[in-house]
Amino acid sequence: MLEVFKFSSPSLSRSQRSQLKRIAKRIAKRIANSWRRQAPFHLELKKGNLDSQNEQRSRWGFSWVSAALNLALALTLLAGALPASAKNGVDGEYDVPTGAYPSPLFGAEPFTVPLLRMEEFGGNSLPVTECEDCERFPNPVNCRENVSGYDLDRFLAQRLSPMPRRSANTLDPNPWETLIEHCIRPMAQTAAEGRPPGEWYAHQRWADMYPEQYFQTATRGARKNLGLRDGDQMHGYKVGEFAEGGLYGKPNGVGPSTSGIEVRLHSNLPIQDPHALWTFDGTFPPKVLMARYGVPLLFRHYNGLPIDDSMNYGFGRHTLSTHEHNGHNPSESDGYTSAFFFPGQFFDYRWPMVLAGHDTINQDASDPRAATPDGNGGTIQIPGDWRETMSSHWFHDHMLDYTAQNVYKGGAAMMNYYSAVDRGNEQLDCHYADPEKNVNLCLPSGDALDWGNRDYDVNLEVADKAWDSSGQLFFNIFNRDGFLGDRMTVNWMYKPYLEVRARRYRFRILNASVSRYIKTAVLDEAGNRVPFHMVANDGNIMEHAVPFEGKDLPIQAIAERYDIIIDFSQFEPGSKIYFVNTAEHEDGRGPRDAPVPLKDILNGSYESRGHGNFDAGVGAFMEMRVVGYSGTDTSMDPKIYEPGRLKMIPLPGFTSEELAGARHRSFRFGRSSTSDTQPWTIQVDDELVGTGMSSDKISAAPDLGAVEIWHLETRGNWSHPIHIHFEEGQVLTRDGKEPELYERLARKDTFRLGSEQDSSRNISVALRFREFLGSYMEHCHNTQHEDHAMMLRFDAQQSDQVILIPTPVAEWDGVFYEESYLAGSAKTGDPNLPQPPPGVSEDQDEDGVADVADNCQLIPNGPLAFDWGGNSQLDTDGDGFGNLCDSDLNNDGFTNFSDFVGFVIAFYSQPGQPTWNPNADLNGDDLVNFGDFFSFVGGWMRPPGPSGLSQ
Amino acid sequence: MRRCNQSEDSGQGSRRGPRLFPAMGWKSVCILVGFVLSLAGVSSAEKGRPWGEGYFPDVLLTTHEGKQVRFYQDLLKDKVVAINFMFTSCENVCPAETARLSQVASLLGDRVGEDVHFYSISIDPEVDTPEALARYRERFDVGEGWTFLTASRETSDLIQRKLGLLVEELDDPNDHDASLVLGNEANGRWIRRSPYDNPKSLAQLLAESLQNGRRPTRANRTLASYADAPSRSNWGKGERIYRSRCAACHTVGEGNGLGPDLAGITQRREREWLVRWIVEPDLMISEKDPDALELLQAWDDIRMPNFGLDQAEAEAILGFIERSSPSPSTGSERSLSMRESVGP
Repeated sequence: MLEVFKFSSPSLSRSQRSQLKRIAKRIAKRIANSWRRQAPFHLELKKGNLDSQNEQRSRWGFSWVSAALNLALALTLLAGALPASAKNGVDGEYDVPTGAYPSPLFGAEPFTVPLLRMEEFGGNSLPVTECEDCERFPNPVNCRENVSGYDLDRFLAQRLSPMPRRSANTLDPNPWETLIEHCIRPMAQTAAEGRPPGEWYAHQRWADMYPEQYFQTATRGARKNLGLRDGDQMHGYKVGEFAEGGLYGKPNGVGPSTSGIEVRLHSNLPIQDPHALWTFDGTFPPKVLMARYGVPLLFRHYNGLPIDDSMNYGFGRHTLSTHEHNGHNPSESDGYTSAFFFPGQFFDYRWPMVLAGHDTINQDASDPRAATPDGNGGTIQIPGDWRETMSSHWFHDHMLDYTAQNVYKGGAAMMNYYSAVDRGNEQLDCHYADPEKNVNLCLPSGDALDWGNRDYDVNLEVADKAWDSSGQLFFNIFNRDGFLGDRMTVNWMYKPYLEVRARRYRFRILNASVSRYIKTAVLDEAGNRVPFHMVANDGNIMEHAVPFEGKDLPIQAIAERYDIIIDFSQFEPGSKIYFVNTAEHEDGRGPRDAPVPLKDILNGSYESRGHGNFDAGVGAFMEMRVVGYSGTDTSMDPKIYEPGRLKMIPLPGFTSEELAGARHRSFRFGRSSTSDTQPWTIQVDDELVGTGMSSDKISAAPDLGAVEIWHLETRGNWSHPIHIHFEEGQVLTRDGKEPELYERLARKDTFRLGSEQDSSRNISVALRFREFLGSYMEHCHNTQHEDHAMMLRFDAQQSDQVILIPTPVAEWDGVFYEESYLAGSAKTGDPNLPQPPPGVSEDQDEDGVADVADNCQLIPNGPLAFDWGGNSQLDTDGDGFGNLCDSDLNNDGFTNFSDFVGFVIAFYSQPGQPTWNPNADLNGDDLVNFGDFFSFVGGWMRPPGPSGLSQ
Repeated sequence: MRRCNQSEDSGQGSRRGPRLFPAMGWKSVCILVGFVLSLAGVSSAEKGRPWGEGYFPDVLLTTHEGKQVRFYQDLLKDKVVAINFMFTSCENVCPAETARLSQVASLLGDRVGEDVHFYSISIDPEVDTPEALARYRERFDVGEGWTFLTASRETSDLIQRKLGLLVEELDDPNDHDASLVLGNEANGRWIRRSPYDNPKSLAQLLAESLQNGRRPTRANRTLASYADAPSRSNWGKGERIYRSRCAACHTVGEGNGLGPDLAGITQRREREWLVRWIVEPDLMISEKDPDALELLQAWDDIRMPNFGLDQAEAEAILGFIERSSPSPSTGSERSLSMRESVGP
């Protein structure tokens, strides 16, 4: 009966084919159903050997008796399983988790541990003098271990030292130098800071945007939290829901401290090995940075990982680069992928916290909407375009070749930008109370603090994970398509619950997975959809709040952030609300085109398909338990900000002139067109074949101040969320059509390409490049695709810039530079699309002299042109037209018979001879001959030129 | 114990169905093996080191010298390796890749064979006998430390799958993932790169990065200031294609490589012929174009690959070669690199 389905029919799409296969298999499965039910149990047993079971026993109190019973039972099951497995001959369609068996739960049930509220990094004023008696970054005990937790906390608690510098601190040695030399080899020199040295990666506008505040942390392996940052929390565990008696006042379950919190994903799951999970401070809860516009920040990031690169539990690299996604930051602080730093080193990232448009719009800071909380009930106005105000960010590792592994392993934190508009105070001078005068949107947050209340404003970092038989984090580094975990976590907790008051909440939902897309439904216990509003897309507050009634959030790709507001006041205390993921993956290439029907999830039929036949990432991943609220909810009601009513933050938009004058570039993501079958390449503009990431190749070089339109496209069946660093884009069209409301009203930094729901194969995005220069990236944020080369470099440049920023190559004993090069269309854009007049750097005749400076724009007469030994750019009559394109010997503006006479007179003359006329020596070889004649004829009956100098 | 956990499910492996043990399926074998091992109390790979003995199959391959070797024990264990898959009758991507790898090998110098090992594994066992591989190797003037290997299709499929390179949905059975896998078995680090990557960066990865910098590669190369920085280089279309596709085998004025020195080529040959030779060399060979056949013979049967370039692109390459060729009147050598000749 199964022969009906021809799996290999080429006319069927991948998803159609797999659907048929699945139907066929479901039928087959029903036949051989009974043994399958036991699958999870015996699979779990297969994962373990005696060693790991011993470990489980000691940690979890399993007895030898039960182990023996398990073995016996497994033996029985095996006997049944083997022939059945052989009969089927397939392992299942769903490769979740990728290349591994289900992650054992050790009895952990969904919704049995509380969500960890994120812990704030805190911040301090930048000191003004060097610290004389501060200790240096403490050494680990040997090559294979992390720096000790106690030492690290003591170090991080002292003030910043050494003082930050404009260019990298390469004068002080790596504080671990002796140990590194012992572990690796003797070195001529090492550097304290891993930032590439010299001018190239010096902080741009350092004095102008000198950091006022700093915070520091070290990435290291998992360890117990010792309460280092208890005093750094803005709420101080004293106010609002973080006070004693509040919902979130006892993060460690005991008191107002995170001290004692272990790094584990559930109370039933084992503590993570320091080599399996690496994160900021090495501790849980995961971290959030509270940042304010107008307060430039210095982030000193230490690398406290083992010197021995094999101490990584099979994945992750011990060198780091940190990208603040998607701050308006100078390139040296943007986490360029090959600007990474080594164990023992730090890297100073300086995030200016300025509004885009700082140099051109509202320069006198007269607009009250472009402002930041002053901490005292008022605001401080700042320059820039208030419509570029950003809110919900995250920063994460961007290590070349290892981004997926390092982010998955814990290299991610969230970052909230606070401003006058999005102040994190729901009661102070609310916009809705007086839209003419007030600017504070009063999004749900709390009101105890002047700004940055998080009582009702919850950061949610959603990510799928997998772990091995011993419960330690697992990543399959040999996966090609993308890596999927089978266990959904929020803020690193396996399917947690969160107590919420019966009032409005803001959730900042980040998809921090490697390859998994999510589509979130908000349901009550009965399975009915709960209405909510989306207020920010990619962390940027939209023009209007978009209502979702009877609908689910749009699909959310990796790195996308959706801020939503849910009003729990409509529910009785005791009610439970769920976030349910309906986006389904068979593999890491992308989600299936359609979501799983809710009813299949709710009635359990989806999950009952069993391992290999369903995606364990589908289903409810977080529970909210409503508890009573006695306060007054003064936060904004998103209904009054729906389309047609009040505006939150209007779109900056683009004028028709700007769009008409924009440079167009095209980026095609996917398989290359030749037999080079790398699936992850990007073809830029008219490039013949797609290429992978090459750190020294500049694929696009937009000019500062320019507006550009980037056309992103994919052809295959893979899904690619494309992230453009540095600047927010506005979606003009998707497949030529107007995008949905939640994109039309939004500024975005990650753009979904693919055939999945809510996406498209083509997308056109308009961008402005402002304020900062240097090397940025554009890439697929399915980080597994990114690591396999689906990434490119673009450099923001001054329009008259002639020097390229070189490419850093980092090694233990220092960073050196390789030259960079511009791809052919980097300055001009796609030649097949309409373009503005040639930019300054275009060199149409490819003679090595840019058109603006070229006295013959179309005839090669520069250093790269074939010449006869004469001077390039020779222009003997000094009229701005090079001799080679200047047959107008008498300078009357036109080449005609009188010029010909002059040429004939000079024919076969050489310098010194009476008939010599240097203007007739067109090719500059000090002889007027037939070589010049042919060039002369080329200009016949025409004016000289064209020339960039004479225009 | 990861040894079997990933094995059968790795990448798309499962979709092809079991091959080595068709009667039982990989998974079943693993269950059995894993179970026996666990009963015997045999410890698998070191805790947290999943990509070692337990992961890589110790299957048999034959070298170009006819020697039998085991994939894990002989080729990978404790070694830094670069692995690609090829077949000798592959006309386009393989010779180009081999030529690119040659560049990497020459940058690495003595270290190839010493602490970096290159393996090119054939996916065409019927044609690629050890003798055929040895001939191919000779044609490309491959030095010590770079082994060509052949194995049954099942074996090469299994290895490709384990390295995450097996492509399931190719129409052409001879097409394959031409990626390079670079790894260091000792520290469990494995990455994939394109053969068209900058050879310098591949060499840096193999000699330095993947070995955690255990051996110094260069002296202090830090640029101190803008003044020392290279000037801007704007590669034209011709140079771009030349560098990524032609430069692996040819030079302009710097002597013969795997193919002839192209200096002054436009003066030695008809332009029309050159353009066609760049665009469709395979067709010219199959049409038995006398010049093409002569070249093929003169250059050890190394075929000029068809890169799918069009006429305009061929012209751009020729333009670049012309501009880079030594000047006929002055006889002065022109630098191949535009970058050296553009002043700030």
